[in-house]
Amino acid sequence: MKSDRFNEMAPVSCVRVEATNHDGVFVGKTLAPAKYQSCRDRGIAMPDLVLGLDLGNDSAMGFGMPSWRRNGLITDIELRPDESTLVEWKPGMASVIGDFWTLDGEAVQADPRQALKRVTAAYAERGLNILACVEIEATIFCESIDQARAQQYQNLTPLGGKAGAVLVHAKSPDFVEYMEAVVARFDEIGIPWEAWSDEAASGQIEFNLAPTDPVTAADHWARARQIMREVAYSLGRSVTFMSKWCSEYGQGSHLNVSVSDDKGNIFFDADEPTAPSDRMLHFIGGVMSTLEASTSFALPTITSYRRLVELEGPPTTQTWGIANKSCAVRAALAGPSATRLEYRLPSADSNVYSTLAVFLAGGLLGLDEESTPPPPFGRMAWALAPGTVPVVPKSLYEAVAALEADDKLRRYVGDEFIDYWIGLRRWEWLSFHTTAERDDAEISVWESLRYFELA
Amino acid sequence: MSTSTISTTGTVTVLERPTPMVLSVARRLRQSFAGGATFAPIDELRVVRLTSATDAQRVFVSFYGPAVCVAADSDQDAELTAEARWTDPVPAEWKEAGPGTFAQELHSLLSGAESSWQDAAQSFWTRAGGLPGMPDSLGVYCFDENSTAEFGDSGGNHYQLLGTSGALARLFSGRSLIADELRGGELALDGTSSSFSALVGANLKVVFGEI
Repeated sequence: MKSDRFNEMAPVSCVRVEATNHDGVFVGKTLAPAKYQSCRDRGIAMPDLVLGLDLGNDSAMGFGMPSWRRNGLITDIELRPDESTLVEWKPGMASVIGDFWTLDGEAVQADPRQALKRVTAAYAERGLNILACVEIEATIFCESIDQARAQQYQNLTPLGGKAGAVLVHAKSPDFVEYMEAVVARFDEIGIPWEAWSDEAASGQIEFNLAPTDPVTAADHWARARQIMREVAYSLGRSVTFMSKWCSEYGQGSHLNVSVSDDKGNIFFDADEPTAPSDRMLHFIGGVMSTLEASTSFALPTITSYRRLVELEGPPTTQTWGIANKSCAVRAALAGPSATRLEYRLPSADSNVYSTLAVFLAGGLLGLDEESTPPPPFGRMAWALAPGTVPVVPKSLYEAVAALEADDKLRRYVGDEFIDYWIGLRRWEWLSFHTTAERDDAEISVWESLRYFELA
Repeated sequence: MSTSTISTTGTVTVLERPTPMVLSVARRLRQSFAGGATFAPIDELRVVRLTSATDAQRVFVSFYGPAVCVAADSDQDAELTAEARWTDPVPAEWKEAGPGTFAQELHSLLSGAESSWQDAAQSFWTRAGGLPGMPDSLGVYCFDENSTAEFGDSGGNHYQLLGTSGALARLFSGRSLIADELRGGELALDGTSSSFSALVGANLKVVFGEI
């Protein structure tokens, strides 16, 4: 018999039904309990534009629309709750994450969560399980969100003073108050966390969430960011996940992944624990063959590419290495349970559902085809002479062009997911260049207005 | 500066950070050269800056010998500047473009060849008709000429564009955007929003020289 988690939980006065759009925005509706009960099996109707508006509230245009857009008549799709995610968000309020379905009862292939579920299922079909976790970076400011808005998010004051060093415990109490309040909420909601710290730039923070299955890891990421915003607002602060909001170091969203079968971690070789296993190499081979095509997912905004500064931490080359954090992919050889790959390219404004889906798709391609990766890069992968190794695309346009030229990722995540994303990103690129007040090397106010609160 | 008396076609390269205006200018130059346009090759670097009349975009066009580079950024000072619409990057007023001048040569290259709306529409459909989401057929009605053209397979998903000969020629040849022509009042549409979205994309691909 199907469990009924909703009716088993304490009565609530409302239910927030949640999803994440392509830009990573937490979207959905808050329903009265009776309404939720009446439609939870089929799904809650949402306009299809919930997956069709850009962050400037314009309808993204310029690409063929999938059938669920129903000829652009602003029809409905349905957000069907996944009650395995049901939690009490706060007294009287339930929270549940869902997936998008068409009115015909088919999964919306372009939905980032559905894409991640498809890839995860493909691993399961092969007897493989995945553990994934996210390192969430953000910057917290002294100003309230109202004040930040009044200043168009310019000239803000990072909380906790200047950086000067990293991993500093002697931060001012206002900084610690925020971090402790966030992890207290993680505990209340049931988001397992492993660590928090300051990061390299002023006001920059990092939360490390615990490994779990990919969809849950992405759900935790989405909810953690919501909590980080809510706590900031409740304390009269503001927070941003922009990949770079000023000239200081940008911020990332590193993904850590391991794969296991019934014998354990397939990335670990017990006979040679200081070297990647054959299957880890296959996985890396697939990832590296799709790394360029995957870039627009890892770096989805105009600002994302401003983070790619040589010697500043983010990878700038399409390289992998063993214990080499200057590479895009780092193989961490850390024993049978912790041997993993770290994907270091994603920026803080990336959507973990999508980015993880394509990273895993690349890995599965490599496992299926027993791919051979390029040799590990053993030197510093920054400031290299042109032509030494392939570089990461330098703009959203180039990254999208690489995805358009690829025919591998779509085998695992589907044509619609790829084509819809290409359309959205080309629109993002066009919107910036044709409406921003500047389109040069400096961060524009346009970017702050568009990304500060939502990306 | 010395200028060769021999005319040549150029080799157009887009440097880093392609922007809509960079792609549009590069496409226009390539089209001009493909159509037989020539210019006098120069044995020293000459840089021209074009700024967009409608937004913050700007483009630097560098000439050196037969090489023509188009970029959004430049370390070099521009010796000539002009303002232009990014979709049709011909400077409207350019006092430096007198007869026999470098500016006049560049103005000619950026102007490209004009097409009739019928030829432009045929070319557009040939290149764009197979893009994802495009309607099965496209009908075009020209107001001022009271003439029509039909493309594609009739009976399926049909889309109709209605406009002046000037608007249709500009649109189909990638000299303007659908949104520009709608704002200008010389274009009307009839079809689904999905087809409209695909047509917007196809229009942009033509402007960018991608198809």
